[in-house]
Amino acid sequence: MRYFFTVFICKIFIFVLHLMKKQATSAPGKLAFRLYPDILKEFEKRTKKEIIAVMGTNGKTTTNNLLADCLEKCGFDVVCNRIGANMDEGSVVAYINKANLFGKIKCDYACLEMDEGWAEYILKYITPSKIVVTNLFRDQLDRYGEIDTTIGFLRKAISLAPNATLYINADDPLTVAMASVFDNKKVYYGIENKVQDVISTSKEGKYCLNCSKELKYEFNHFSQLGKYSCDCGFIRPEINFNAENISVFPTLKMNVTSYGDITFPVRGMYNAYNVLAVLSVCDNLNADKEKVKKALNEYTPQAGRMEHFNIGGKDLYLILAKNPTGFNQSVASVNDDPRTKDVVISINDGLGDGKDVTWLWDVDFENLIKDEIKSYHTSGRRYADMALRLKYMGVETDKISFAKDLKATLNSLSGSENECIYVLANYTALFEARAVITEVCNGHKN
Amino acid sequence: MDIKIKHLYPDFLNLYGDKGNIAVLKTRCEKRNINVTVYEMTKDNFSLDDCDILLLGGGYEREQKFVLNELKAFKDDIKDYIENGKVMLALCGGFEMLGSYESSDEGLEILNISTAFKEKRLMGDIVIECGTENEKYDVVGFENHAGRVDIKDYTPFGRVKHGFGNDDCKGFEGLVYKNLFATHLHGPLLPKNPVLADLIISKALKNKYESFEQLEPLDDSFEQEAHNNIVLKLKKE
Repeated sequence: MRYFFTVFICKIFIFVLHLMKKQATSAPGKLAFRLYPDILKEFEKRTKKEIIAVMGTNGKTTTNNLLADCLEKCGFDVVCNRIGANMDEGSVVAYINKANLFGKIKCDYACLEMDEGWAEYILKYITPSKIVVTNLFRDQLDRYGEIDTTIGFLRKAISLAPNATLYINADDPLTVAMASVFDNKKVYYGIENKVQDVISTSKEGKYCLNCSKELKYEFNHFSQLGKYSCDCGFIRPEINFNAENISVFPTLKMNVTSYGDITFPVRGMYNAYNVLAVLSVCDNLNADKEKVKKALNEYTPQAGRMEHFNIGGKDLYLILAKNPTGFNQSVASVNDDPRTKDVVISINDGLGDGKDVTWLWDVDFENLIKDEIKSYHTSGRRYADMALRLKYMGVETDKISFAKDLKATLNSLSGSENECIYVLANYTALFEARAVITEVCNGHKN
Repeated sequence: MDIKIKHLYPDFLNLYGDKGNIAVLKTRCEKRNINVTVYEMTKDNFSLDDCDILLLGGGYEREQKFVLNELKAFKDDIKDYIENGKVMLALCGGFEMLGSYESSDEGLEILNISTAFKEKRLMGDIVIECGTENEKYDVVGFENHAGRVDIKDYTPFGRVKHGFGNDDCKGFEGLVYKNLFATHLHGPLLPKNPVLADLIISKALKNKYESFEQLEPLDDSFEQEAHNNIVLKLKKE
């Protein structure tokens, strides 16, 4: 009774929020918890097949959404917290959105992205049968302190699901070490062989979690991902799900175990891992392979994940980059494109970004000094920190400008002689930049 | 003129972009035609004989403990280096490491200071006023530390104008002792504080060259903009 009442009230609340054009991602969830703290247990009962949890620091949203797309393509009803609302309320709202006014839910699978800090709390109510862990990169340091803290959170959460199969990124020593304490069944996905020479110098996590010695690498794919081993006996586990023949520009193409050639429209090496994670789960679920490949082909990235705009006939790409690894990957994507370009970097220090921006000095921005990059524009609340970072990496100061008025900057860049524009932004800066870009694009159309 | 900078265990103590400090010292010297050599120093090549500026940063707890254990063999060398008035910058965990801990862990005990850890981390932008009565300057940065440091009789590095400092009550941050600068302001402390960066370079040059008088000024407009933005931001809060 309490369940039906709660869903009914929350559905109406969401409806009202929509009428008021307000975001309905967390407030209805808070209300639901207040009305019925065990609401997630009820949702679990109403999930016909399985609950799949996606955790890790980077790539959660892409992985989770793509997994839901694939399952939907195969004809299943899927609950998914699509917009990256990954705290406890986000999962509740995802279910409520799928329910009708009378609490009836059509749900075969639930794909739930979980914030590392909230996963333990969510798993007190529901028990996923599969848990995907994408990777463990430094993320939002001032929220959780240190990567060791994040590892502690994930271990607590996973210990609540002893029967779940873990889908682990074999190339990430931190994720593998994190999961090594569990006896759960594990499926390892990864990239067996060397793909490209890597210039990244970030050494985050390149130390053995067991003995603190420096890991030995045969090769790196990026950041700490690669083929590693340690004197203490810690090695990359055998890969069950592998990708080879990988190319990353202009789209991602690769050959994957039991799937053959696949194409994914969003480029970037990091997406190879997101796709691998999804395919390893789909394979285990015996999902129709052709339908899954079709879902990959048709995937539309969320806002700011290599999002493409046309600005007065010129290509503009918007890329989210919220931590050193994400930024290094974004910089690599900029350099995958051989055209001449102007680059805008926007950095905020709001709550969603992490108030500490000192990590900017851990990004290998040195790789942004290229002949093809003709000018640099810094924006966001920390534009001056970013400009300073560029200056000390060796960019001539007359190539750097403060884009305090982003609209004016973009308008002027749309008329520059260079072939395309890249905008790199961290979390809240991305949404601000996106609004301005959309406005400028529309201005050009009229 | 030339300067040798030694960075202790940069691969381990690299939590918050410490390489920014090295980049700033190096660039600011080179612009003035001062040669700079940077050494990454571990126990394998430890030597302070020809060192002009020593940098000790902070790292993850696990990696910091590893470094601390390795450095114990050299604590007398580091102590002599500091006592001889050579220039050293110790940041965040590197600052706390120089003293002792109130827990069972053993510190380097080079300085008579002690650190107690509390659950609540002291975190946020910080502005401190440094220097002497006649020559005051502000230093801006970011602090994120669980340790509360009792600096006992040492002179604080600065007076907290905004933020927490060594503890959340006394209103002082870090310490200076001879030519050692120790502070919680982590990672890239020097980019936004060109005055401090030049002070460190000057002290190192004075130690080495009797004839050295002062550094020629540089265009610091980007540095000042970034510095002032933090001060303004905190005034608004």
